[in-house]
Order: sequence, then structure tokens, then C-alpha cells
Amino acid sequence: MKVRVRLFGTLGRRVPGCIPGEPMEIELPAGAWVRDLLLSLGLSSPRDGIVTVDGKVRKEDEALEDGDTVEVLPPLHGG
Amino acid sequence: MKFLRVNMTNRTVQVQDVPPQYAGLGGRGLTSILINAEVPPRCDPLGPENKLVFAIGLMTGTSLVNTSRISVGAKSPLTGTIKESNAGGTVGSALGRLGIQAIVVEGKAPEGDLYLLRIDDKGKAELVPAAPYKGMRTYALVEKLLSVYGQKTSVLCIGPAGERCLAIASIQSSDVDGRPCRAAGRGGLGAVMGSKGLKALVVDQRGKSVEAMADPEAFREAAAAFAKAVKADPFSGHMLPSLGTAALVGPVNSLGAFPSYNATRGTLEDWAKISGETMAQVIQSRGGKTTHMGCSQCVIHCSNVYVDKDGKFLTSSLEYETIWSMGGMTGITDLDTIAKLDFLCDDIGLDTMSTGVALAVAMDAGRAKFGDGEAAIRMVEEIATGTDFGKLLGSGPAAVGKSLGHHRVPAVKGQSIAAYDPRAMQGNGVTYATSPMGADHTAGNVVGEYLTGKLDPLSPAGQVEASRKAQIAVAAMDCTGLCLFASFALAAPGAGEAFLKALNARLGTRLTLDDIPAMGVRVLKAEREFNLRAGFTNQDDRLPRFFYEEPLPPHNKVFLVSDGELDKTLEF
Repeated sequence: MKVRVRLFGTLGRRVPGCIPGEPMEIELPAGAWVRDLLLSLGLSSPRDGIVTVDGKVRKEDEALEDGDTVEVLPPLHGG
Repeated sequence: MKFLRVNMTNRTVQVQDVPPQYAGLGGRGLTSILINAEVPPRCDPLGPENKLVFAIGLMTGTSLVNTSRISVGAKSPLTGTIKESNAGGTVGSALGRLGIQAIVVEGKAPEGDLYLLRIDDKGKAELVPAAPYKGMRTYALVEKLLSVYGQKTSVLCIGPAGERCLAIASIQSSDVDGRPCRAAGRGGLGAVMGSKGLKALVVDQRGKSVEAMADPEAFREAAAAFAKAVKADPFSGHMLPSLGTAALVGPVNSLGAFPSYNATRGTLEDWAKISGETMAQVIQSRGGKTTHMGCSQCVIHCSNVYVDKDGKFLTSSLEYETIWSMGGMTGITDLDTIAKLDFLCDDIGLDTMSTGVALAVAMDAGRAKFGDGEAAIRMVEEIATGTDFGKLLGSGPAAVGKSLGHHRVPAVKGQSIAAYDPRAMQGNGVTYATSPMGADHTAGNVVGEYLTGKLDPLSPAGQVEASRKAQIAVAAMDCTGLCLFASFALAAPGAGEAFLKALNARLGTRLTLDDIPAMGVRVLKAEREFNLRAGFTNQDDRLPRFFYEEPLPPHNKVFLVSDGELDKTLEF
């Protein structure tokens, strides 16, 4: 299955082929979890950030679906 | 350390030792406890009974990194509550090196008179007639003052908005480059300064600390350890110098919590045009600065210098909250226009947040179309020129809503919310409702809990506790002069202990980690006591009705924390 991934902040700089701010398409085995996606990008949650699908936070052991738009948000604080 | 008592009625300056009842207090602790003790709570905020207090933090003026913050306090003309507004820049450190803990401005100059408070390199203070500077905008004012008093001068000043005593007027603070681009923005304290007849504090930066360090060796060791932790922290050491606070634009939109089009949607269409990532690319391609030192003692460098297509200065520093208020709330997605609006506010002496929200309420009420950048610039200029509509805007979003008969005013106690919608980040709603300052994100921002995966932003569960913890922590930190952005490094192993060790080495105290929240609680209690005596009750600790009644897309949630729960937030 394929998911679209957008990496925020400076996370994209750590992933080869990622254009900052632009979503990238990632191919994963059917039924893959959030953790599988992060591993394929060399990231882990919550150390490197949290993951949202449709604006809702997803845990590492939650399954993704084909066509999902996944966003990885780095740990930030407000000012 | 010394106190300066400046009486504007008699135009006298009295130097005194720190009064015993205020010993050991700094920053917000000092402004709030002094105001609670000395200002009649029901007084006119723009009258002679109000006091405007400038207080540096307990660590300000030392060599500890990121401790140059200054607190400004008074009874607010915007909220009617006690208020502390916190600014960076250079003036805090300059006062600290002169051994001046606080400046208390009392009384009121005769109508039409205007003064500078000049403090020289020996700490001698005098009031200087400021008639030639009357009506000046802040950039021209500071340029002139630096030419008269020397480049090694820090300035805290008001612009035309403050002189007109408008309720969203800011006090601008000069940065390390001598630009008045840092601000004590919230609560309309610029209007209090204007009402006193004080145009600017003009402080020589070349003072030598007169305060002996209680344990210099322990201080040096602890200060080095703390600086290392701030540099090593992923947020303060990496994210902020790369993208600044604007890094929040994308994530908060992703979470559907970016109040847009006057808080009718939680995601701004085309937010990517004004994101931190986009801004960094624009600045870099034009030769501006994405990493810039704004404040004395800073090792984070979260500031930026935003330039136009020709590389010419447009503003510094373009921050998340301003990108939101002038972008998200108004639907303007052109960064250059947002930068111009930011500069205009700094130059006129206006809180960018309250100004943007006032514009958004006016747009929502039909005075202009969302997204119309030219109309927004025109309207902000009207505040400076003083048209009737400009005066209305300058009185803040609640005044605009009332005058235009529009119900959707995202403000608490008259002060606008910040860039986190309480329906999609419920804990921030708790802080907006219950903070003694009115809606104020710096009084206890919970967004970090959501962006580190510790708390579900959409559920009411755990929000009161998170807000309480944040409000107490910030109230304590604001006593020390430490920058909020450096404070997140305190969670790193050993960093909190190092900061405490430095504090004890400075003051000669034996404070423990348990004493820090106690300091925060003491400050909040004083602030709530003032508000109670000013006539505020729990019924004022509520969000506007529309947050309970109008679901916010995309999550279509309303604010869910009950009144009973809200009342437990600061029930000490």
C-alpha cells in the first residue's frame, strides 16, 4: 500500500529524497503500522515527533491504510 | 540591588534599597506582589493611582545564558486585571549590570507633558523632557535616541498608540542591533506608560554589576552546565535556531488547532505559504537571516531578519503568534504582507496579536474581506493616524465586536486568545479562561504536551491539571528572568539542578527544587487576590459563548471543560 507522508520542521533534512515541506509517497506492506513507517524513515515516536492522520494523533502500534496522509510533527513547545 | 521610584506628578526620582517586603523577588513575582500591595485594585488603569513597574529577573544581569528578560506590570487598561507582560531585548541585562532591580513609575505627568527616563552608566537616573520626540514612531525614535545617547544604549519605548493610551498599545524593547522589535506586547501596558507621560526608558549598557555573587565559583560551574544543556536540547539548540517559533505553523494546522478566519476554522487554507519551513526558504533565498540573536545573553538565536525581494529589511523578528494573528485570523497568506503588518505594529507600538485579532473581528463583521492585505495595512495605519475607526481597533477586539455588534470575539477578559484554538487544544482553553492575565498563552501554554504525545488535545481529560502545572511553572520561571525557550532544557538530566545551583549561588540561598513551584503559587495567589479585590469572580474565568456552541472544523469539537473543573484550576 502507499501512504503520503509530510515531515515537518527539520525532520525532512534527515530523510534522503525528502523535499522540505513537500509530501512524499512511501510504499509499505499492507497492514503496516505507524511504527513500520517511521522505521522506514529512520525515525521513532515520540522521540522524533508525533504522528497524525487526518489531524488526529496516532500511536506507533496503530495500523495505517492505503491512501492515508500521514504527518510527522517534531517535538515543539509554544512561545 | 536598588529600586528607582519615579514620581511623574512631581517629576522626581528616588533611589532606595530593595524594601524588605520585596526582598528575594524578581520579574513577575516582584511586579505582581508590588502591584497587589500598592495599587488600589479598582483604580483607573490610566490614572495616577496605577503604577507601572519594570522588574528584572533574579538572574538578569548575570552571565547565565538566556536570562535577559524583563517583566512589566500594572493594572491593565485592556483587561482591568493585574498584568505582567514580559519582554526580551537588551534593557533587562543593562539594568541588571547597573544594579537596578526595579523601576516603579508612579503618579502622572501634567496633561500633554512627555519625558524620557535616562539612566547613565553610573546608574544615575533623571527625567528629561521629551517634547521633541512626541508622536514619533519607535524605529525613528530609537535611531534618534541612539544617536544622542550612544550606540551602547538600550531603549524601552512607546509609539503613537501608547501616547494615545490605546488599550492594545505595546512597550517596545530594543534588540542587540538597536531595533525596537521585541515587545512587552500584551495587556496594553504601553497605554499605561503613555498615561504617565513617559515616552521611553533610555538605559546605558555599560554598567558594571554592583551586586556581588554569593558563591562565584559555584555559579560559574552551574552556569556552564546549564548553557550546555540549552545548546544540547533539540528544541532550543536545533529547532528554534533553524526555523524559529514559526516552526509551529505546520504542526498546529495539522492538529486542526490554528484559529483561522476569526476562529471559524482550525486549519488555514494555504497555511503552507506562511509556514516556518517556507519562511526559512524565503529568507535564505533573499539574503536575510533565519538565525539571529535578538536578546542579550542568548545562545538560542530564535530570531530572524525578514527582508523583501531586494534584500531590504522588512521586519525582525517574524514570529509564530504574529504569523497567526495577521495571517491565520485574517486569511492573509502573503508573508511579505504579514511582515509589513508586523513592522507597522512594532513601529506604531501595538501588540501584534490583539491587533490581528481586532482586524479579524472587523473582517468577520463585514468591514473588509478576509485575505485583503491592503485593507489590513490601511486599517493598522488608521490606528496611528487616530481616525475614529483606528481608535476603535486600537481599543482591542472586544471593543470592535461590541461596537460592530458582532458576537464572535475570541477574547477572555478583553484580551485576545493566542494561536491555539481552545476547541482543538482544550488545555490552552483552560489557561485562557483562568489565567489572572486574561487569555494569554505565555501564562501556561499546553501545546508542548500535545506535540510530545503526552496528552490528547481533543479530550477534556487531564487538561486542568496540565494547565495548572504550566501556569505554576511559568509564574515561577518569570521571576528568574529566564527565557521560556531556554526553560524547556530544564527537563534534561542535571539541567534543573544546575539552574537551581546557579540561582542559589547568585542569591546565597538554599532553595530546593520544591521551592520553585511554591514561588509560582505565591505569585498566582497575589494576582488572583488583586483581581478578586478589583471585582472579578469565577464567572469571569470563562471562555466566550461561541467556543461552547460553535464546533470548530475539522474536528468539529466545542470546548468541553466544565465550569466546575475550570474553577479547580487555580484553587490553591
